[in-house]
Amino acid sequence: MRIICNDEKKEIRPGTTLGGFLGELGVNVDTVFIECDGVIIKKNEYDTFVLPDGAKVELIRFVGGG
Amino acid sequence: MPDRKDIAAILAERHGPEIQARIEQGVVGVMGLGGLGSSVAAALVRIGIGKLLLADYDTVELSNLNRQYYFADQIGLPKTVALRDTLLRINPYVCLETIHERLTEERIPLLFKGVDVLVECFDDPAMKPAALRAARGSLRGIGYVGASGMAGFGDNNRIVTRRIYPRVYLVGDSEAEVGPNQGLMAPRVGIAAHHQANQALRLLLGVDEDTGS
Repeated sequence: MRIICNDEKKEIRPGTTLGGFLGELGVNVDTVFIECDGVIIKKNEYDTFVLPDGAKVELIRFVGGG
Repeated sequence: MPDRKDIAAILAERHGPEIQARIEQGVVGVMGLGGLGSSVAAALVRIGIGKLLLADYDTVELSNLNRQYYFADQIGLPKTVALRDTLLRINPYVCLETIHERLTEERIPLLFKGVDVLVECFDDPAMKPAALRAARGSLRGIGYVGASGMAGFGDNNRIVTRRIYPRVYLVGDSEAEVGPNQGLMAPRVGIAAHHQANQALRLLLGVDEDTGS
């Protein structure tokens, strides 16, 4: 099945959680902001949130410094 | 010492009376008073901002002086106290509220409810998305200006201001983090801080254009 992440099409296995998807991308879960279909996903929901087919994921990665 | 009316009159003359009237009504929250936040606050006080909420848990250290708006004789003071003192030297009549605590995703909506614009100036990369979640959740509708990526001495013009949602902006190059030979330095952190300050001003003045950058 397919999702769209930051306007890019991605193939994922059915049942993939957001946490699993972030792991495959190599994204640090502590420093990322995520909305799925316009809804904010909280950090403690990443490992239980199953990505639905056709999901539109907005992912913003942050780096430190200020 | 100039009195309050002198300062208001000169700002209105310089900036335009209608613009100045809106700036004077503005309430801005600044989360984190390091290299970004201390300069954002100073810029907003200089233009006559109505009220600032200044939040930080930390004290001024010698290692801060390479980029932050503090002075050697302020080492050891809480940043909230040191910055308040400095800002009151710029404008003795500005309304400042200080919050001396370590902010969390849960506390941000409680502390900053009612601001017009919230400026995220954290150093900690985990607090940056946490603050954006707070703003997009419980504080939806307020202006928001975050920052990510301004370490080192890379190209000036890779520091950009992106509109990510209506009234929500992110400043920086999105990638330059602290590393070997890439420290946080006053010039480039200052570029990012003043992008943030100008974006906060634009939001206060009702500008919210997607320039596609």
